[in-house]
Amino acid sequence: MSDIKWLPDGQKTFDKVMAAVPEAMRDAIKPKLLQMLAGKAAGQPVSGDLVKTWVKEDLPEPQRSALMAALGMKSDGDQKPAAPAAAAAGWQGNAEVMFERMLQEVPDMMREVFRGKLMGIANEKAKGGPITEDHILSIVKEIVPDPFKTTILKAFATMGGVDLSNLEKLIESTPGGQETVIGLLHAVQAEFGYCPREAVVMISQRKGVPMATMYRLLTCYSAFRLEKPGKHVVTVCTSTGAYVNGGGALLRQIREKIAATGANITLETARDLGCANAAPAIMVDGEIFSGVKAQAKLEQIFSESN
Amino acid sequence: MADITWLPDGQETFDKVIAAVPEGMRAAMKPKLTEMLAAKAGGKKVSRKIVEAWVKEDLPEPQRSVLMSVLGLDKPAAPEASSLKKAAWKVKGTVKNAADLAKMKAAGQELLAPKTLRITVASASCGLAKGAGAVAAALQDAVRKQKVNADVVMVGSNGMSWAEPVVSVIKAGRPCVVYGSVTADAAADIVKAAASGKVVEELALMRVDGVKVDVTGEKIKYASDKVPAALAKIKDGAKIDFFKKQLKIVSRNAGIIAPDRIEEYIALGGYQALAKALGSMKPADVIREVKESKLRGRGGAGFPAGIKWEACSKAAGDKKYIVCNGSEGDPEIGLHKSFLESDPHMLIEGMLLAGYAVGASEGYVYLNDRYLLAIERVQTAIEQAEKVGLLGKHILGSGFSFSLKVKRGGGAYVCGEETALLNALEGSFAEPRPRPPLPVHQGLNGKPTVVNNLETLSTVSAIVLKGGAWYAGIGTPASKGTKIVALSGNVARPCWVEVAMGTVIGDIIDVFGGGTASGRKVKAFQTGGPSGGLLPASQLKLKLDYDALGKAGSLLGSGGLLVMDEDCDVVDVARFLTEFFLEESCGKCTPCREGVKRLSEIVSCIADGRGTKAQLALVKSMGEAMSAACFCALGKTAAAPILTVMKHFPKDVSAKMLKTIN
Repeated sequence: MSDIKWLPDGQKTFDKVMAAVPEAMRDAIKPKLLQMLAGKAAGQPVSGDLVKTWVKEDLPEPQRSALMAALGMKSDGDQKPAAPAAAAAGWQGNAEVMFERMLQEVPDMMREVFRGKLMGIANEKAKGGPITEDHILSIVKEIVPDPFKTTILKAFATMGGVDLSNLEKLIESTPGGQETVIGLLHAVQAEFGYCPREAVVMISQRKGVPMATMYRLLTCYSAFRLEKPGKHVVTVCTSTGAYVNGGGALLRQIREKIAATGANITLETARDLGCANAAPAIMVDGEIFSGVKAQAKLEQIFSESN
Repeated sequence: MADITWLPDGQETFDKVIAAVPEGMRAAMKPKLTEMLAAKAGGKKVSRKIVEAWVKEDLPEPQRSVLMSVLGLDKPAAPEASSLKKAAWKVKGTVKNAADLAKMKAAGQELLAPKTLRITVASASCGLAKGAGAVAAALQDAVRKQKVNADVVMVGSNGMSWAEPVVSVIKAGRPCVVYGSVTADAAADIVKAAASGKVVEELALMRVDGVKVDVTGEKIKYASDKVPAALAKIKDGAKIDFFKKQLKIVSRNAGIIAPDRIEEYIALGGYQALAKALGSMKPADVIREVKESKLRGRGGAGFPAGIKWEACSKAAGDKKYIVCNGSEGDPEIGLHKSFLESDPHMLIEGMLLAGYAVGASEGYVYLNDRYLLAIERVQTAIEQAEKVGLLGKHILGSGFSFSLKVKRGGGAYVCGEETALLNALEGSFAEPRPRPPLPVHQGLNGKPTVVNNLETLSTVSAIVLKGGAWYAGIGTPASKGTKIVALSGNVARPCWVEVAMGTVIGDIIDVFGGGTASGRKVKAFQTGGPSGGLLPASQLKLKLDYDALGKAGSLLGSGGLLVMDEDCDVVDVARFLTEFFLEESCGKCTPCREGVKRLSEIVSCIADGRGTKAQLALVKSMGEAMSAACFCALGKTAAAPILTVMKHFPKDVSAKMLKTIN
């Protein structure tokens, strides 16, 4: 370790710098920082001001800004007014939630500094308008380094937004036009449980099928759901065979129970589940039940979904 | 730096960790991290696992979480595939000529009657619905635990849907023992008994001494003629009416072979018809045989298949298609698809023969969107046929090339109408097209197309093998051959069977279905789906025949046979069926769109006991108008349920009349 002669306030200031380094890295990084600082001091005793100058002039971003803030130094905003820590013209869609999610990846100590800086950039991108999801996305893609970028983008994908990367690949590997649409919609529904608008728009654009046509296809074929299903999907077999064996009463019973309890269950019917030997049968999340087992399964999902 | 011996994947993983450290700190952090890792490894070579364990166990938060996500450790481990999901069957070898086919046949026969034990689990939809999956898993488990050398195979259904899950035990030199209503708990006992030549008597349904496929002439003998003492009490399957009274042509392999093993299909004479056609018949010869067989469309309308093929073969077009209509939207057809789930290759062979006959190079199997199991099995069968060379270019060394694709429907009853089905295949709306042009002239993508029902196409291989004259010798003058019938509703033994045309419907219900489940008399039955309406018990003597059923005001349809007993409210069933049409009307033409809506309101009113005579008169005239004016058969027949109920069950209808007005 290089020799450093400390002035009391120099030592104190440096300790503050060290405190701002995340604990896990502190030991590893300390010798390196001391070495840098010794180089800066060039044999002179180290004062508080010297440490501050070193931080300001020699450290790389984003550590520089964070440490300047930790040491109570004014940021380079000396010339420019400090970036406002609020959206100048409000948010649009999920933009605010996404912005906060992005900040979660920043260590606590530095978060407020980053907030100001990133808000400034976002406001700049918005050009006086509200900040949109696209603005936040472009900040993450352009500015945030990996692995944080990957983590944040992944988090965005599961935030109620829709991750279309699988569909994108599938569309690319499916040559053809409109004749491929029903197959693609089946794939979308298998992945998401329904056909989200974003996915339908993507198919519409890539396959050159107008949205009006897409909507008509989605509604003339009964296989497709336009809304996110509940926690469980119950499909009651409404074949004629099931009907004469009491399937109608079973359907009514489940429908009334869902209405009465407000359970988060999607109820559907199928013309024939193909198991007349088990009529009246129900399918719960893809698995077929009949008789006593069906009643037991229904009780279980109702107790889960309240 | 600490000394570390790397394994390649360890180094790679560690590099990922380092790459995840922000660049400014990377150089400073690396020695420290290396040191920590070396300590963790304790002199061992560093593998990916060690790096992952180190990240997971030793690193502080928040770095730990970030790195876990970088290394993909944050996702829950994939659940272990259940023992039921066996590795996909791998087909060995190719079939380029007759000699290859014979070789694969021998391999298949070895699988069907191995020297070791073969335990089969019937696993069409009707079996799986009753827990066949769990039974198969339990059998595999028992085989492993008891260290028995056995092949546990998922096969198709033998038709005895009421007895599912059905398990068969085949041991060299002994009759095959068939068990019914097997539970997972019984699996260990069955395996134990099988290994020691014993039988679990309380579950045994029958014994089968061998398989004899009349159509192809193939035989598999399980046992010598002498019945072992342990099996003396078990019924002989050959003497059970359920099998004796059937005539199995399309379902000849069902329940015996594994649908996902092409060798087993070939073992019982599969693809012999294709070899015969490509080897010694001209396309016109194939068409002649099919014409001579008088095979009629099994989807409902009953149009002669040979005439359709001939028209398509004569139509001008640079490209032609074969389309299999597996829309099967009738609400009581459930078990009908079992033969397809049990033996998908028979459909593929039929489509190949159709393609060869009319000069088509491409085919599509369009299946109901709910037929997931059938879709999966047909897809697997296509892949296997492609792999061995029975689909693709220059099949069996001939000049004939054919490719096949499965298309999953979107769920619309009207797609059973062939032009609406073609629209669906093209990615368009489920609506029928005007005709002419007929599909055989301008079908899929405007090219000549044969659209046949899946049962029709599955029948063709038998006709080509044994000749049209043979097939025409079965059945009645107007209806030749056999028909698959799926029994449901109030019936003691729901099942699916294949019987000769001309079989009396009442007999089907009694012999195979065991009468009603309630034990009461049959009051009404339905063939041909909702369009067929309801027929009264007095018509039970009707024969399975296109013309006989047509004259009775019903139709043969695609093979559902629904039974209702004396307690059934037939007017309510008519309401149910009218509502079915209401849901399924595509809305293209006004008489159907508006007519079905009003009809449904009126029928509902009657079924609620608020009927008037004026309404009955209105229903009659609406039915006539719709039958004349609707664009396709869906609307034309939508009034059939209520009209047939009015005709055959007047007492039931008058009981629903409002007393004060009438």
